[in-house]
Amino acid sequence: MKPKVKARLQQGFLWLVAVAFFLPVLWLFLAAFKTASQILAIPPRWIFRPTWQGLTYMASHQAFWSHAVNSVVISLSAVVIAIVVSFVAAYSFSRFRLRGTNFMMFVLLSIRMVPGAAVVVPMYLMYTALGWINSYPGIILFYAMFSIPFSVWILKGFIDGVSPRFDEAAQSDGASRLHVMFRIVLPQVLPGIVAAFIFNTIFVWNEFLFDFIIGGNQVATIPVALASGLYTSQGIDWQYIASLTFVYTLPLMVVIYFFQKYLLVGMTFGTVRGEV
Amino acid sequence: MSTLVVRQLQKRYGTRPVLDGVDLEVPDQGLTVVFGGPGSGKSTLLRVVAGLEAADAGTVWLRGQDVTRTAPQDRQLAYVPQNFALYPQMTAFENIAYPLRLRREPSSTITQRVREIAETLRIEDVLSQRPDQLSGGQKQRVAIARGLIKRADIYLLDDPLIGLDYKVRERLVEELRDLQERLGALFLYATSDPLESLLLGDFIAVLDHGRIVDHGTPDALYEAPRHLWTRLNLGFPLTNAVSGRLQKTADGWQVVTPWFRTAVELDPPADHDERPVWATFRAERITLEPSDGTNPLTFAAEIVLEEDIGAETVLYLTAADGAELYALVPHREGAAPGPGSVTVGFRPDDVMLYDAKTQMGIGRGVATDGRG
Repeated sequence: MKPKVKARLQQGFLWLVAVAFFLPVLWLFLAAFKTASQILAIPPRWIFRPTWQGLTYMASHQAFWSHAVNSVVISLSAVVIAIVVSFVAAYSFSRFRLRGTNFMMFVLLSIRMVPGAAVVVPMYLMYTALGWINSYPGIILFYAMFSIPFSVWILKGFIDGVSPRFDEAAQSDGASRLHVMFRIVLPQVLPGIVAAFIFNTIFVWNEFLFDFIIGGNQVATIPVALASGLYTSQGIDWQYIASLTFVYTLPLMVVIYFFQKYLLVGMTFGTVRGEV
Repeated sequence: MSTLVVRQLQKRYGTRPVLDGVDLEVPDQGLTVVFGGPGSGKSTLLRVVAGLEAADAGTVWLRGQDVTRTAPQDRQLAYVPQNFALYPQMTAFENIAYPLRLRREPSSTITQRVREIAETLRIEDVLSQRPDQLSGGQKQRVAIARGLIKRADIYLLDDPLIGLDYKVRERLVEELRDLQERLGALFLYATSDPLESLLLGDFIAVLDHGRIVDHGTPDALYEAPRHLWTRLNLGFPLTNAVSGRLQKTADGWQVVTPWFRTAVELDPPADHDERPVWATFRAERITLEPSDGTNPLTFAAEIVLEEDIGAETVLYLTAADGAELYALVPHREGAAPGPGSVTVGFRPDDVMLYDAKTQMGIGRGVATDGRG
């Protein structure tokens, strides 16, 4: 077989695999533009006249707006708090190198290694005792706490890469430590901040279990809404599910498409930086 | 008490002492050079004075106040580090302006001062560029400008001209001298370059293995250094040294080396024994093939390498015992370059003696005849 033909075949096979993986997402996206009967049609209808009916139907639900706003507010607030705290912590770990830093870093990360199901009951009891169930500060702080270890790891890797000579130069120029952190070091680790931000936003945006258990109606996010609030008197409301899933997935798809390289940074704790 | 005083400073990196009881009182006026070889502790001394490193023991006094535990930003110093450490997110202009922005100086003052110092350092045309667009020399000059733009009464400069090309160095040495005179501030300047030390310094402190082993004016240190390290390294080319032994004679003392022997005058005169010493003599005091008796100490050597530096020539020689030495002689018009035998001659009173154990000066040759 000619090398050119072989390469084409291999490429074709890879495309086939990629499309197969994308099919469920495609089905979801298409479903958002179908009528209720078209969604459940067997065999699935790939060719149809798109309609806004599902999306307008979803927008007319009061609950949709509350869930969407909760998802955005809780995700962004938790991640912003986590990034600020993590940056300060990572700077301290990187620059002051206290005895036992490595062990502390391990302990910090271990919280992310524990399966959610293992801690959900103690968390529920704790939150009940504190009266934080179904409260914004409660759920935001929880997600921030969960996002901090990962962010510290990522950011420490980046801050280690910024020579302490910059800190010293700025301090002898008259800058305070806080000024050095936020005006000299922070601009140099922006890719790390972006990586930590993206990675943690994806985690919080997708999280279901804890919002379901220690959250409540007031702070329910889209994942909770998808799983629990879709039954009507006629059964499962597939049109609402399809539209909500589309609106829920689209922002992440866009972010992942444009910031894929930062995901690699996140998945390797900042040790592989690639083109970032 | 002078504006900058350090007392018994000690600093270790692991088990290695870097500063080993440094005592230094820097004269208030003029430029003081801390001269020392690589690893002698110069940078560490400046960093401890700037507050960037904590001393293990000892104190730093600035303007009569003990600042040993004071944060660097509160010491009110201007500091030019050895490395550039230019902030990559800022242009050269913003880098230079940064210390003034921290002091909340008005924009017009900042612009004017940056332009002035940029003109002095000939970097006006790179002010809008970021550090990654600058050459090594330009980066260094931007770093110097950033260190010097702040008005302070104490300036610390950590080998700022290292690695710059000769022309730029020459001009900057002049500029730094001018600047120091204009500001009338205290300049503490660390360098491992002997010529820079002699050209720039009003006062030189010599640091070796974390201790101040010598101090004084450039002339005094050049003519009569107390310590062997200063004698060997403060000058160009390096000073020659040959190991020998003191020997008592009927007339007094003499030094005996494989190359020559000559009568010496010891200081202090008493309390000596026949101890091992280093006999040293400067490369520029050597003449080749002396014939008129003015340089009576002579011995044979082989030329290994000849370096023509314009009006003068540096000769790299080996003596009969294989030891190396240098000679700086007037340009050898018509002489065959390269290997060959020569007779080296110098005056007995050019010989300075150093105790091999303590490395401190113990006397010098006297102007009498002597042959090896």
